Amino acid sequence: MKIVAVCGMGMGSSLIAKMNIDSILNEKGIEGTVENCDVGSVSGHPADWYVATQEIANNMPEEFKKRTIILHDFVNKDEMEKELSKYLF
Amino acid sequence: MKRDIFQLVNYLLPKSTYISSKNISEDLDFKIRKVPAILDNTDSWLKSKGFSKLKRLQGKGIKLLQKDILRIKATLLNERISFDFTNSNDRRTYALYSLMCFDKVSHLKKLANSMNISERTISNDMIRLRKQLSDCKVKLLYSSSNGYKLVGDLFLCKCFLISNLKQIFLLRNEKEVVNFIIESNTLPGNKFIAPEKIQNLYQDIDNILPVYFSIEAKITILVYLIITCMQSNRNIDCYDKDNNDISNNKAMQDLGSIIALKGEEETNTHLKKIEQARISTLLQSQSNELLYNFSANYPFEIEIFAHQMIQDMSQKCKIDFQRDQELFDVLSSHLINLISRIRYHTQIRNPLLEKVKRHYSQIHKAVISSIQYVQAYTGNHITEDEISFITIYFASAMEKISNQQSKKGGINIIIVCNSGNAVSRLLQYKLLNSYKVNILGTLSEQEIKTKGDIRNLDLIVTVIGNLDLKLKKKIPIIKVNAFPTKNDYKKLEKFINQKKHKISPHNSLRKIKNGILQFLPGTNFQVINNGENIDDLIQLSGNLLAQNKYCDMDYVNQMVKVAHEFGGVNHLLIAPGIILPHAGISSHVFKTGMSLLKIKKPFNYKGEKIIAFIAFCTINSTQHQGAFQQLGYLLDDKEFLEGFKETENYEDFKNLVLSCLKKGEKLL
Repeated sequence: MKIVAVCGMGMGSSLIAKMNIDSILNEKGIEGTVENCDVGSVSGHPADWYVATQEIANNMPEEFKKRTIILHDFVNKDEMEKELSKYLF
Repeated sequence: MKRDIFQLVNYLLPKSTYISSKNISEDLDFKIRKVPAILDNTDSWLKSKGFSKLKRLQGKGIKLLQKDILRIKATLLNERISFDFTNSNDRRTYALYSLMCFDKVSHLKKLANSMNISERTISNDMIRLRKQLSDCKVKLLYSSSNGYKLVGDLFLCKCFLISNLKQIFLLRNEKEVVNFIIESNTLPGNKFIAPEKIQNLYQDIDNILPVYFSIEAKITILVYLIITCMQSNRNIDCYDKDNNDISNNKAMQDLGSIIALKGEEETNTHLKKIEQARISTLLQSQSNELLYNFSANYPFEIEIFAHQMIQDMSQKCKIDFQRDQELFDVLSSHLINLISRIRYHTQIRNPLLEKVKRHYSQIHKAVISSIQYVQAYTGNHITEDEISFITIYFASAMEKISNQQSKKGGINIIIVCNSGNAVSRLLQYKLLNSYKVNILGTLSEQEIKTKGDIRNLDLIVTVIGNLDLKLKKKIPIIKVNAFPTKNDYKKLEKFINQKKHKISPHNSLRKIKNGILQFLPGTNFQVINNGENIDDLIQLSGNLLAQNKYCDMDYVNQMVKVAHEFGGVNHLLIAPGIILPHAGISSHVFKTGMSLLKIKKPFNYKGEKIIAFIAFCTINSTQHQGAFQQLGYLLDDKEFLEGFKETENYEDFKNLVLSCLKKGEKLL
């Protein structure tokens, strides 16, 4: 499973999100790779799921929107885990 | 025959030298002052069978006469241990056995008569039994008109009974179980199962279970199955409706069902569906302690087949089975038996074939094609029933692998319990199967008191109410039922989730090179009283970077522009009230750095109270990773966020960061 965390520039909040998702997957024993990128270059990152905040999700390419999980917050691990588990595990 | 005589004679048979009373008492767990009486009893037994008395030598000990040994061995084969009603444990076990398997309701008088013991003694025994059973959550009710009666879920009670029967009748192999059944059939009105069926049942269990089940475990399962069939025959219904079995090992569930079905076949009874689940529960609790005994000297082709199959299956299922030594052992030993069954045309039937095919269709298909090597070797067709057993092994290995992956960083638990092995073992398995936990041990109340503080212990789980340990370090205690109820699971989950929150994978947060404090020195830190315009504030936080030569002003201007790219700066909100302004990697950045602009009086921006700006610039996409790992941890830490609100200068901030990171490590 491949997950891409997306933010405006691809190096700030998406990096924190990537690290948090990595550790959530690790704790749950789920195999998967997590990357981060900016919303402009997301079309060059094929993945099973995308993770973004609401504003960024609105700007995601149309074909990815169905596979985009919207998170309110990229630092609260518990919230993230709850939201991700609805889709991923 | 009395148990102690049986034990002693068996113990002396292989010994050629004199054995002292002290050794006898230690090895056989007899009280030293009882040894002389046991020796006397043994003498009279030997005499009654026409042998010489024990040979005694002052200061040395005793031994059997060499010339008698072979004949004693032969005589022992026909001897059986019986209940010793002078012993309180035997009486209690008999009463429980009778209530569980023969008479749902039993009068005191009847019990006293069948044991030939006074009613008063039996009544006292029953009081003690009642106390013992309270751990199993079973009530022993008494009324003068109806007699004794068990109420509650009898599953644990059955495990308790079995462990007692095993002790009393020294059940170590199937012959001893046969003897026990013969003995049990002599008890009034208890005749149920023909002893020869036991051999068949044992053979079935032995065929079905993977080799890592010890003989002891197989015996437990056998006795459990027999008792269950007896109960079903007598219509003794023993389970609560609330079935809170959480069994996540499908392979074990299947094996449990197969064993239950075999039991039905042999004893001609019908078991309820729930029994299958209970047997698999028992199976799993038994397989917790794996016992290897691989001295088997099998042809080395078998190892090659096992190896080939595992390799083949790993490729087909895309799972690395090759790391699993246990699977290899199980499979090789299964193949030996399989090959001999194929040769002698005694392939076994799997009543669950259809279910296995449905559940693990992919694995099953893969096994069918992988088994071709074995098929070619034997030259005979292997039935799908036989293949399905191998499917179960692989399915079980697959689940084990996924279990292991999720077990990283679990919490450490000790189980405290008074009712013996059977109960704690079940609880242990339940916990292991349901949560990410490591069981450090199972102790009695006394043991944990004497042992004192245990390193790395996170939680004590106990079945004893009002456990007071007085440990130096306060360790949380959770009281549960030995067979946890839904409520118990809730309690445990609550604790484990709290703990999980604290466990973070950043185990060396402070040691990260290029951490937050390296990129954010005092020069990049500013506190202002209030702010109004978001753009100005972003500009201000960027200025801190530009002033200190991290970037030029163009970068700062870009930051402001980027902030509005998605219709508002909300996409830069990294945590409640904290904005992370930044632009991309460009030639306007000279070195990686961060700045912090704190606003004493939070200001409102689109419904959000903004308290700080953390601006950053980086020369590549990796250099700031360590700092962000720390930042991510800190912003998820309530203590940090609280403390941060009060922070007035860089020194405070630095100390807060260091202390929170330190705490994060300690929690591991």
